[in-house]
Amino acid sequence: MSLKVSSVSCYRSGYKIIDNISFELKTGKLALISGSNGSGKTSLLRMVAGFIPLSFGDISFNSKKEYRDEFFILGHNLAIKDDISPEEDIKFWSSYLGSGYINGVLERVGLGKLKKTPCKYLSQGQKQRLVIARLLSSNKSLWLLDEPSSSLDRDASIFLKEIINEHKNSGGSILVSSHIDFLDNADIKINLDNKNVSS
Amino acid sequence: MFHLKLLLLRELKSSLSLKGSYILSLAFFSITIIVLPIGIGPDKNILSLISPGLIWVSLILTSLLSLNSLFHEDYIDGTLDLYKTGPLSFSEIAFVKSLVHWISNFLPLLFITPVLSLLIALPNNLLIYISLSILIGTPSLSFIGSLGSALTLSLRQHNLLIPLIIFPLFIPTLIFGSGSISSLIFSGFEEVFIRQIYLLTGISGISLVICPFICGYILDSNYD
Repeated sequence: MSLKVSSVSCYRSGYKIIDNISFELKTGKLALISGSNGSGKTSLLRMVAGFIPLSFGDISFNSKKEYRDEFFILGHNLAIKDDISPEEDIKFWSSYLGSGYINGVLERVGLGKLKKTPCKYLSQGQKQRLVIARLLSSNKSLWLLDEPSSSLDRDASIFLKEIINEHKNSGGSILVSSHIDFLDNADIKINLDNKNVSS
Repeated sequence: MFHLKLLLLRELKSSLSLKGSYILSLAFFSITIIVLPIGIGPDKNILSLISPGLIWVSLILTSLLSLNSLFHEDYIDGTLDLYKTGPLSFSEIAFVKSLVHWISNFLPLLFITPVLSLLIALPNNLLIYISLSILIGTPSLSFIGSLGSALTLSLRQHNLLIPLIIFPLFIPTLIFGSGSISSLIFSGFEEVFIRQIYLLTGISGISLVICPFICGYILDSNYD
């Protein structure tokens, strides 16, 4: 079981965004995409998710080109509606994405007391915690995380590291982009500034 | 089917909340119908002459007002990203969103149209026929309108482009919608009215079946 990214390049409006990147992320492994602002971290993740078409190269997961129901993506935009509560949000997404609601998941991410509060009253960090709760309920083997710690406080960042390690140890694969080196146990490091992939 | 129902309930709840566009649609439609007779004057003959067209032009303008947010909000806040990784295709999502747009923006108008019709000198005995014409014709506005919303998904000027793209496609609905009411007012022939209603049913039925597929294709190819 692996994610294979082979000689992938991406051009958008004539500009080269990603240039000839290859790596293989096997089961139980963690890959960290790093690079400066505008280096293409988000684009690479969105290409893996199938949201951005590839200009050249090939991406497959478990030898399949179409794998949209096998990953969970946490992007910059959190898909949170103002008028619904964290409890309604997590119940909808866990049912819609097929995994089913896990009791106590909001308490686990520290939103137990706010579970009936409309999301418009949550801070950015609390909203990010809600998305981590979705991640925990998602039951997907591949996690694509785009700057997941950007709005989190110290405790939440530590918690995020813990659940990433838990997922890794249970046989899941994780592809994380971050401009800061918040994960020190990455199996593969992809630096988009110098196009270096190291294992 | 479970996921379609789940999405339908979520979209309905969101659309029928206090923040939903249906309040704006109700207000806009009412103001258009109320203000025009003030500008034209109280002459009943002139009012009844223009009222079928006025009702249907107001319906079209009302639909354009709310179509801006059909997909754009979900695209901007990342909801479409999650929908794309879920079990439903963009065609199914487009069907649900267009249906909810019709339920939340046009069904409430059916309740106020009889009251507003009195202001524009439409005969009382025709109110049921006018409501029927709106009920049957307006689904096409939501389903055809979804195409404009999908085409302008990632564009900043989407508010201005949707009317330009979609208005020509609304012309058949406008012709048969206003024609159905005119046929009753001016010729009094129920037979002509029924023929126009059949045509409206055809347009709505075809758009209901075809538009979600085209919309899904546009969303898939327009997505990045």
